[in-house]
Amino acid sequence: MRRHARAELAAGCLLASVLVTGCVPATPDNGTYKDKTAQTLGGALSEVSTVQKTLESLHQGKMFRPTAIVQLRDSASSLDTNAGAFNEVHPPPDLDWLYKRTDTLLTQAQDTTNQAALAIERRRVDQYSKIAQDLGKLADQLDKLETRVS
Amino acid sequence: VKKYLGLALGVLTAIGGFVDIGDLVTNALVGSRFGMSLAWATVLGAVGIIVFAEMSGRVVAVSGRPTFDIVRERLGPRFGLANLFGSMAVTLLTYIAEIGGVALSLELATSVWEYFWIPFTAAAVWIVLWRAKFNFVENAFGLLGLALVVFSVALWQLGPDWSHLWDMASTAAKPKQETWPTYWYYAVALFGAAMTPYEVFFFSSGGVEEKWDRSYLPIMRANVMLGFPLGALLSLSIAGVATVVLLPVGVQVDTLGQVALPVAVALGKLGLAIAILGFFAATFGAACETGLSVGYSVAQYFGWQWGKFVKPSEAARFHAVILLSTVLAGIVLLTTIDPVLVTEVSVVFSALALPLTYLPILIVANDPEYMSDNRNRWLANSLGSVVLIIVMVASLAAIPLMIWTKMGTT
Repeated sequence: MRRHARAELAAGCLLASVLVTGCVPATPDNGTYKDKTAQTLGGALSEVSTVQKTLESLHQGKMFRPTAIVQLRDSASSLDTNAGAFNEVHPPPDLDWLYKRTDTLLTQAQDTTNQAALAIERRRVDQYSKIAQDLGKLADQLDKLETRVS
Repeated sequence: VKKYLGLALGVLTAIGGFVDIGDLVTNALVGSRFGMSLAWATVLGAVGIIVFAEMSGRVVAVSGRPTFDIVRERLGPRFGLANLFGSMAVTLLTYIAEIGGVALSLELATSVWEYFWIPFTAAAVWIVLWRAKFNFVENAFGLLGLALVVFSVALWQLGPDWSHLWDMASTAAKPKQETWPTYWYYAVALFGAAMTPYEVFFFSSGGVEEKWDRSYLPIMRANVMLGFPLGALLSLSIAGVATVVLLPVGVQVDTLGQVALPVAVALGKLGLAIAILGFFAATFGAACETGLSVGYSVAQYFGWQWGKFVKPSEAARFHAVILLSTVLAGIVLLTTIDPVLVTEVSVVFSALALPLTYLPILIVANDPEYMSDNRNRWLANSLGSVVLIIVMVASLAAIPLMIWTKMGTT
């Protein structure tokens, strides 16, 4: 009976350790981390460029407001998911700079997309052009960093 | 004159009905990431569906029975059951994706959340399948689906460097930032999207609904050989506009709004409105076709009365299957699963299930007992065999590539 209980305890510990290690953020090697970061940057660039094109089209009277609202909602959600997934992985010590730079760009992307969504929601047409320019610059920075990391 | 009008209507509905949510999403996604370098996969898929749709249409016109009714009789209930499970599972998945596509189109037009539209969409599809005549289902949405020609107009309006597009399409070289496994993953997805099994379920059962006989063979061939290639051109236009507008700025399509964005850039609000109408018609029409196909395949396997050519009360079990599938599709979509993700999965699983659908057609179309002097000649057999080999390879590669590339994300 005691032997049976020990076996159960060992199995329980094993299961707990598997679950705990599964919940701890992973720290991959440099190459894997760079791949993951490039993927994150590519995803962010996609959404930032989409929002920029949408805003420009809206400003030029080529886009319906409801359609733009939907696209911005989707892009904001995708950026949040992308940033969340990126933060689940811890950087190796010598890539802390990459983590900080990517995190900053992701935060800027999320903030600017939210600004664009708010401007469309409140019909602040005068802000469209400035936000689109900001998004363009951000897209360039994301593209450069992605190229450097890849 | 009536005959020619009927022919024109058939060709037009074949063009409009060729594109569904799988073609929309996959072609735009591939265009935005690979440019026109995977155009060959769309062309190959179009050739495949033309070869096998002609075969299954011929089987119906000669025998007066749908292809899969004969498959069960000719190859036995065990093979029929494997065929039913494999192909129907994919068709059901496609049905879910199409209903989700309709909800996404309505969301784009109104900005009201897609999940609000799902119950209404599912109910509307079911009511159409229950009450509307077969010809209405086939023709109305097929013709409205022609609105997607706006993608070809947009491509023309964008004034791309045609020689550059042709270079990309003819050299089939992948962009530097993409990997070969991802390239092949999307080749399989495009092939699966073009050859989705429900297309032949619907085509062959539709032939019985419309009471085709041998005299209908030339019209059927014209529909297939003119309508499907022109439909494939629509698919290539969707990839083309994504190549011109989205690829240079790094947009990777993962929403229906991104599929429409190049049309807005090229043609403004009018073009966008027509594109959204086209999305709605293409997905609603395909939802009706996949919903009917689920009912057709189950009812034909079990030998129940089926079809829209009889009153719903006379084909109660057929309509019950459609109703249950519609409820299931609605429930799955209301779990807040992303319909675009369902679409991406459905086209890959479609590739996996292709041999179960197309091998039996090749066998039956060669059987003199059913086909007498209309059985396959050397050309149909040669093309059918080559396509079937590609189908087998795509089927074997689909899941390993899906896992290896993490669904094309690496």
